[in-house]
Amino acid sequence: MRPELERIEKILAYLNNEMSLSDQRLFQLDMKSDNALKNEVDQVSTLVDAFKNNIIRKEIQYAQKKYFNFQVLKKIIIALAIAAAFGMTIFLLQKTNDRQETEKSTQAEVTYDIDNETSDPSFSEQNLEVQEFIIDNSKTNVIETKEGIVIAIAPNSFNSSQKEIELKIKEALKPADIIKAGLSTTYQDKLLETSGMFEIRAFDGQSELELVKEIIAEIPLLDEEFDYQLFDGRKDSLGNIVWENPKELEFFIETYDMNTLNFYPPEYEAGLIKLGKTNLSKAQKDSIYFNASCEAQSYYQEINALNESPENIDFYDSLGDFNFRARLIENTANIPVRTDYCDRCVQPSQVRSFWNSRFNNTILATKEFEERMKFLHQTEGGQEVLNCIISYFNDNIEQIDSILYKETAWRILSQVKTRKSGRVRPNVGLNSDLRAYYNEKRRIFENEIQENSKKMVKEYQAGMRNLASQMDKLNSLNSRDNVRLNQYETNKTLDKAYETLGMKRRQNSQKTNYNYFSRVTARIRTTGWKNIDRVVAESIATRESIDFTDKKTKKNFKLEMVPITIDCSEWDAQNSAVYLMPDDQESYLKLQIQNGKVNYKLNELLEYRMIFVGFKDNKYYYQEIENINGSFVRITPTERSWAEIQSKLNKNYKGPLMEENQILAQLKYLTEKYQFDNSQVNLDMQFQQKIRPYIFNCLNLVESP
Amino acid sequence: MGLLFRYFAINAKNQMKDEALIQLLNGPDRKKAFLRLYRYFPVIKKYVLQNSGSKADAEDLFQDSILALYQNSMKSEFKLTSSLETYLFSIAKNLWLNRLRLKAKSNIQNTLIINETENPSIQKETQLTLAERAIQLISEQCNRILEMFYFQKKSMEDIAHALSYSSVNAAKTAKYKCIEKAKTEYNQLLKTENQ
Repeated sequence: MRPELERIEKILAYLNNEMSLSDQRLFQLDMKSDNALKNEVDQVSTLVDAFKNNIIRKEIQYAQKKYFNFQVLKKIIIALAIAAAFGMTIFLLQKTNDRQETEKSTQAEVTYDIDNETSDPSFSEQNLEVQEFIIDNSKTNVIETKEGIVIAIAPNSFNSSQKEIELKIKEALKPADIIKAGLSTTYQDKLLETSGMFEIRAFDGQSELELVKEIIAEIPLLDEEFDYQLFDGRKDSLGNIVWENPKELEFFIETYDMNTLNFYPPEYEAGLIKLGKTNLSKAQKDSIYFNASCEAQSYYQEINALNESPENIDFYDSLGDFNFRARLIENTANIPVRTDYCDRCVQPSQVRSFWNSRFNNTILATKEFEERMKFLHQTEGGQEVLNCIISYFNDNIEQIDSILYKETAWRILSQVKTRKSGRVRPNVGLNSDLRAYYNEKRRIFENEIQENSKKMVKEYQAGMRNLASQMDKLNSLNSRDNVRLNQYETNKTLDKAYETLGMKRRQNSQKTNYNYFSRVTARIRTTGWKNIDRVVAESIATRESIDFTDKKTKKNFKLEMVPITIDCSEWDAQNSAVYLMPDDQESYLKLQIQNGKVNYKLNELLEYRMIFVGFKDNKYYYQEIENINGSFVRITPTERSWAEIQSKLNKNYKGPLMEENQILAQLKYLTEKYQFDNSQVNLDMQFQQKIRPYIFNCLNLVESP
Repeated sequence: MGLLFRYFAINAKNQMKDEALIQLLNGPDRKKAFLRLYRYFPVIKKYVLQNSGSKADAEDLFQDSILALYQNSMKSEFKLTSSLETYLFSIAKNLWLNRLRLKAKSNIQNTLIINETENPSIQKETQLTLAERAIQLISEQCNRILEMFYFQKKSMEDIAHALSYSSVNAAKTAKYKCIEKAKTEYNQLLKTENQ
């Protein structure tokens, strides 16, 4: 990329908040010192603002255009209505004159049908096509007109004794039809914005029937933006239609089969994919979702934190992490484990209680409710709101919205398409049996989740405890060997020192027990005379060479501590270990691996055997170097069976019982840890831990994947 | 209970009206909110016509007022303390008075205009106007990229895919080139303006 473009990339990253905090600070410093850069940032920022303004302005202009179009349509309707009225007046006047003239001339009686004669034929409802439907009055009928009005007629809606009746429907939904029919669009002298008009009449033979039951008509709307009402049309004495009795229109909401709706939290399915669970069936997704719980959340989080930052573990225990973790579990086992973290989010047990076919045909089985659930999942307190909704509403989305409005202070409603009103078709609703079913199931599912969760935690804790006890054993073997080695090295060095200095070694110093762990506090703070025993002890502890001259005899004792580096960078420090075995063959010294390397200083008086053991993919690796003295060793182990390793170790080991061999204990621990890490309970636990934020996300802990 | 809910719903509906419109304005369906806001246009038009403005002025002013309302409503500290109609009217009134003032000054003394252009907020507004003009000069493809990025909040991966770029990097480079092009146009306009 060209440098100019790279510069723009940087500026955009800064303006879009895509930089890390430290990069942001650096960039701000750059801006302070570089005026040209600052100007450029201002320019790009202004351009981005301008771009946003342009888009918004276009949208406003579009709204303006739409608004003016409506105004124009209104004017056309008024103009045509006036023209029609004018035309009609002239027509009537002419008729009257004609009639007077006819009366005068013929003196004959003429009957006059107002209904047929008062309208201007060029703007008359007679111009509208009559659509005829023959229906069975004893059954439910659903008919659809040419313009898409759907009319549902319940059995015996018309007062007829006959089975077959005839429906005659006229409709004027398009502006052109409305004008063609000369239909007025005023109510109490105010102009109506109309989405259309229709007329329904029913006949059995010649006589017109009355409607005795409510029928339901769904009318396609011109624009959902505006609030429409339904008016009854009554013809006045002049034959004009007068619109009256405005009523609010209802929107009936379609219900769907519950199995086709999706009530998972919005991030859940993407979360599964992100965690590698692709192509799961609905049953599998349900199983994971319905088993998720808030149980034990707090200490899982602490353990997780420990796993992610091993440095915390070192602080507590330099020998291994697992016993600390396990102790943590022991300690937290009695702490109440439910936390606010996810308690107030919608619980899977709640969703499971209504997401089934029993709730088909209720307001819950609608796309509208599905949409609202998405936001409930993201709302703190969603659990209580959902309970409230299921306990109190009937079949009307408006009631649900009023609960959401009250409980969520608009957060939800602002994001869903609100409707003035809307309900599922009558006679369904949510009856008390279903409510009782929901409450009962919720209780059962909650218990089930708690029981499952407790069982899982118990199993997990047992695994951890086993590993912890093994780690404790390993630690005690390690300390035992360290003390033994320390004694051996001290004695051997002291013997040599006394011999060189021509001194006789006191009996009690042979018995001195130099504790391995005391070495960290053995610091030389004074100059001057020192006891040789102490010099040796310090040297062994600090691994510093000795150059000691006895002031009286002037005899000198030198001891070289030879540095050695062992490179095991290709091995994970958690799953490998490097040991030194001195020539007494009774103990092992486990060396600390740091950054893939071991640095140690060998005592020149001792001969060492180096042993490396590693564990990878359930296989053992082993390497042994006899009489190690080089300054640099690279680990190149070979795969060995447990028996081979055991026999190799047995050959050279003269320490306590073979089963108390530290290396074998280490390998056994690594094997069991591997088995535990790959056990179903641990994998389930880890996965639950990871998926949980996607399920209980009412505090917005995860971003949408 | 049914009655109680109905009562509550009706009561809530009245309180909701303005607030709902603001929420709609801040949501993905803001276009619907813009259309609904036009119900206040006749009042503002009347005001402009009574205060030496034309119908075209009223239309421009109303657009700018809605834009200002939109920008204000996006700020976290925004709170509607009066009715929306009053609020929108006060925005329009202020904007109109500012325009009248500028117009009057330009008629009286040109030097005053020079002083005005030294005013940082006026300067910023002028710059923004020029920047808006510069943006209109960039290609349709650039507009699409930027709209998807800033308004539809699409990732660069999605944009690359939707606009058939060979890779995400190609889409990113295209985006930077668009900004570069806008910058060049903008600087050109600034230069012409200052001459």
